[in-house]
Amino acid sequence: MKRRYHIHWPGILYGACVLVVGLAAMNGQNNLLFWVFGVLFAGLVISGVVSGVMMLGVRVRRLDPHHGAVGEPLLVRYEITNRNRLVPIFNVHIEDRPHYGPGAWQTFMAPAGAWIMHVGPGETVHGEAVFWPQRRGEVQFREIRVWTTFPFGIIKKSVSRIAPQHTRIYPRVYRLRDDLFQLIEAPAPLGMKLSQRSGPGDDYYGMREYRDGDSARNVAWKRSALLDDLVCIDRSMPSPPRLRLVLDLRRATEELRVAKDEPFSARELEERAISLTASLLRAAERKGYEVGLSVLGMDLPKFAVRRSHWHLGKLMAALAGINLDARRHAEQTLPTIELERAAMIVVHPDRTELIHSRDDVIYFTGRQLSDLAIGERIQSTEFAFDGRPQDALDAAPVARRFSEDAA
Amino acid sequence: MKLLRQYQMLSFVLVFLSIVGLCIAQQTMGLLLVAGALTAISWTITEGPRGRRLPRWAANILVLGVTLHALVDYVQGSTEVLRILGTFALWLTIIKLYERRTPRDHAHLLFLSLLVILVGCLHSTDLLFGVVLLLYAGLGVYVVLLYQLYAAYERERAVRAGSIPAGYRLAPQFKPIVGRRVGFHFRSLVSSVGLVGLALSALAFLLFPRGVGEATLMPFPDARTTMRPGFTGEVDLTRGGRITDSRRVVMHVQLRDSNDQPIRESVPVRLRGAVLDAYKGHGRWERQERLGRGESFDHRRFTNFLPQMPVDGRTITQDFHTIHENQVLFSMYAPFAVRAEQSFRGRFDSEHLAIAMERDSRAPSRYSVLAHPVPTDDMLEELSSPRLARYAYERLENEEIRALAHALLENTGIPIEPPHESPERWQWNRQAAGAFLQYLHSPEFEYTIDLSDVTLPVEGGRMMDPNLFFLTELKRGHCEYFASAFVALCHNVGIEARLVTGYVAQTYDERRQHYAVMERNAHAWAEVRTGELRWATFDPTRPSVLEQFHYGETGFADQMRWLYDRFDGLWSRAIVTYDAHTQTELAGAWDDEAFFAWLRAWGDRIRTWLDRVNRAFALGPAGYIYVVFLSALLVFFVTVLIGMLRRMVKIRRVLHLEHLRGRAYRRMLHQLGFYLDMLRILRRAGFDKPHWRPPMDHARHVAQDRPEAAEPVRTVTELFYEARYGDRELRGDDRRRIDQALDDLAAVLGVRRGAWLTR
Repeated sequence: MKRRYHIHWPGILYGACVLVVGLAAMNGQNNLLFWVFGVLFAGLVISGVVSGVMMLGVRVRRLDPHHGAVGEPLLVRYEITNRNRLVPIFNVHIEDRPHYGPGAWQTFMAPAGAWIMHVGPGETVHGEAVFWPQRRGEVQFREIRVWTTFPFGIIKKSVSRIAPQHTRIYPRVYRLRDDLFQLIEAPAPLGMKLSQRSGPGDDYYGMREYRDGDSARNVAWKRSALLDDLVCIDRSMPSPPRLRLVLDLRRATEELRVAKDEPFSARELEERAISLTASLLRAAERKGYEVGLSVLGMDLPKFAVRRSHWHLGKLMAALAGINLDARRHAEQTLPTIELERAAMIVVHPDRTELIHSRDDVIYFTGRQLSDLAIGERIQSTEFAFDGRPQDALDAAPVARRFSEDAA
Repeated sequence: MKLLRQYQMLSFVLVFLSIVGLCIAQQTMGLLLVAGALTAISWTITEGPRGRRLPRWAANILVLGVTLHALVDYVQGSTEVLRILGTFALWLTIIKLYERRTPRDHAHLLFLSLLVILVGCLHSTDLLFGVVLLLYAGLGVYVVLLYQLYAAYERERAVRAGSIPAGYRLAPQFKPIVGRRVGFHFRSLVSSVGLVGLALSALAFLLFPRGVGEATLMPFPDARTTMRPGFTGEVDLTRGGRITDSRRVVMHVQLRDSNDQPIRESVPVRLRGAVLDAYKGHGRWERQERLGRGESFDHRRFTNFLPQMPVDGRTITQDFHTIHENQVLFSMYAPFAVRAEQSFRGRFDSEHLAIAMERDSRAPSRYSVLAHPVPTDDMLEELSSPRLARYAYERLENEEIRALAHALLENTGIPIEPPHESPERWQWNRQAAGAFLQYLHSPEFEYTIDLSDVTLPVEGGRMMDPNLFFLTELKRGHCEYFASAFVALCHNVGIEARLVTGYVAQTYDERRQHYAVMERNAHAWAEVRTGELRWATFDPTRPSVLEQFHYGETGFADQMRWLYDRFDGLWSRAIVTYDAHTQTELAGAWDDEAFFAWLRAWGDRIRTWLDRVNRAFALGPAGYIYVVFLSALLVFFVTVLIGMLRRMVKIRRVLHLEHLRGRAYRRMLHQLGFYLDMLRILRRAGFDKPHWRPPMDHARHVAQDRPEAAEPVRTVTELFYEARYGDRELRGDDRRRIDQALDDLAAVLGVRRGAWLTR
């Protein structure tokens, strides 16, 4: 824990004010001014002591932050404990300090802080900071700082603690056109409809004897009449349609085919392709598809076709963690996936290339994101990270507030 | 949130208080009415159900107007820069009250109100303003602390709202995060900060060096000069109205004899201020502008007006400590040496035997004057101007008054024509003055301080002379009327007489051994020449009336006023006139010897009190033992009471009984203390119970770590559950079980159970 006092403008102004009143009192030998000077001076002393005592008992930790997504709020929660048995804490600000290591959080989002109005003696409360991530990736947090200017706003006292933690920011997810999946459903084989297991579906699975609680609708009356015993129709487990998404990133950024007059840069097209993939994953999951993901050209495993919230999170995390500056594997090919019996969508950043002998594969490119997304206009600057390595992105605009604070 | 909602109202009250304070300091009732009304209305207009705010451009125009007005005032040569500054700050504050208010604007408003009250400090040291200042300081601490929370909340809310992308509707709501009992904690903190601040400010007030750097930057007007002293350096009988009867202390005077011992005179002490011998007509008396040459008086030593000090041992040293500034130095008759705290320029008026200030010189607040109450002829000859032999004065002559004076002399058998020879002449002067004095002391004349119903009559287009009006028609008035009429009678029969204004010191403070001179002690009397160089004092105001006026208290209002004046005196003595001299005295008094003397004095007081009690109850020699025993018993009971209260508060807080009321609450308070005892024993053994853990879980947690303590903890916890939530009333055997379990627990864990009072 690092503790320090900061001098800031209100404090300097207050000091000047005390000085002026003191001089006026001395000049005029006015006793009321002497007393007012005493009050102002006492304010200065009390401010330092009270804020110091308050900060003495502060313990803070960052609660494990959940993942975020570009364009959605990322809640970072802090737990603050006042170990002092007598003195309450008021007006506490908590913030993450910027750092300059890989994945520094300030390169992903603008600074935000939590504000806690009061923590009683011996109490623990939680505060939250709402960040708005601007790009996907793995975010590293490092140092937490707690500060207060209470009681008079004259002296700023802070306590800092190193608490490294990380989280992932998922790519931005857009709402896609509703008719998009009709394209898939029409020509493509949507997987085996009949399941090997009985379940709550609609299709016939077999017959079985009647059990208490079975609906009368399921009773096979003719068969029952023949057997002179009640038998029921057993239904099959519903088998959702299956979809594999392939993101083709085998071609290096500089090799992408981008015209000079095109509004998008190569890196931007790649980001758009990732975002389109994430949007397709989310849309398919909502439609009830089982989804799988393959990212070509990267050191990522092939994700099997499944359907669960956890599985979707895993896929999104994989997309979030793609490092476009890493070396590409151009020789990587799509493994044999016929046995999956799943529809396939391939997303390229720039132009479509046939990568499979199947003729039912649907191809999209990053350029098409604007046409496919509905509901909101995509800003041209949203993916403007072209030409610079991610780790070395200029942190100046977002870090300006911190430098002002530190000054 | 309730605490934050208070801010708007309280900051408004604070600003209102500062405006009222400035108006009181400037003593401008009109401004108070206008500014107060505008301030009060601003709350309704801006904070009402349909609150409207002044647009920024309109506010800017108003500010420009106010600034121009202040500049014009200044350029027009108004010398009262502080008044202009105060009024300017006041109008800015009022405009700000009508504006849209962000946290930054609130900060501006608080700063402006501080500026307004500071200007008030420069204007006045009045008790009423002091009370407003104290209220302002107290409320100011609360409001400033609240402002920190309010501004932080508003800023965070704005930042949170500003960071939400346009069109995003699922952003988390922003609410202040608080722990339990936030209001109580805030008020406690404010009280502590206020008390510590008061103590520190008092310390700074006492220790800040006085008399250093005075008027180094610019000459400030002394706030003390705005006080009404009661004393005036000239008399104007046409003013009418009511003279002050305030008990506000205007100065302290200590008289010391030649052995430097404080003395108290058996008769009221007349402190001469201005000697008025020029009648300007229409009831106006002034000083003659032909006084002696001005000279500088050194502060290190006495400036003696005699060639050598008198040796008859009757010299009186008068130490003055004035609270307001005067253009004269007061003294008993006849002064012959002066010394002040700082050097000053003044002049010794050898014709009137008085000391006056030069116009450009600032009067000292502390000075000492040596006087001889019965000066010898030689002394008077050395002190007095040679011109006194040809003493010239502007006489008050009036035919009707002369006729009256002659009639009075005839009635008492005194010849109208004065003798030409000197000794007879002075004797005749004394006799004639005595006759006039007797006439004015007669019941025909009535003393009153209120002449607000009196208007001077006009005869033939000319206003009647106030002295004639008083003597012939009105026949009631205050000391100035009596003294002026007396001098008028004297002048009209050729007696050299003059009017003297000053104070009659009567209230003696036995503890501090000095006279406390109040505003109401201001008085006017007359001096009649009774020798070549000698003047005798004649007071035409009846002594009984004077005494009654100076001491008499009648109704409830008088009592209240007396109380106010006492506080005013205390305020003046302790705050307004605290200076380098007092600081030095205080530092001198603060030594070990003085401290032990103080302790001894308290010991003596207690002994005296014990004696008194013993005698009152006729307890005999054993009485001291009884009293000491009873006192010890009282202390014991008070301690027990405090212990019980502390325990009740703790039970209520720890077991969250705040929501309970009535009988159930009392029963819980009475019964559930045992659980706190168990928690204390466990805490001593290192099992502190977190707030969030339920009692039974805590019992299990303890049992897991210390199985031998499981049984007593379980017993106590179960009984606690039954009493707290099962509505069970614990009986004698339950209490015995609990007591036994707690003893067992303490023994098993190897900790002390503790005395009841320490729980």
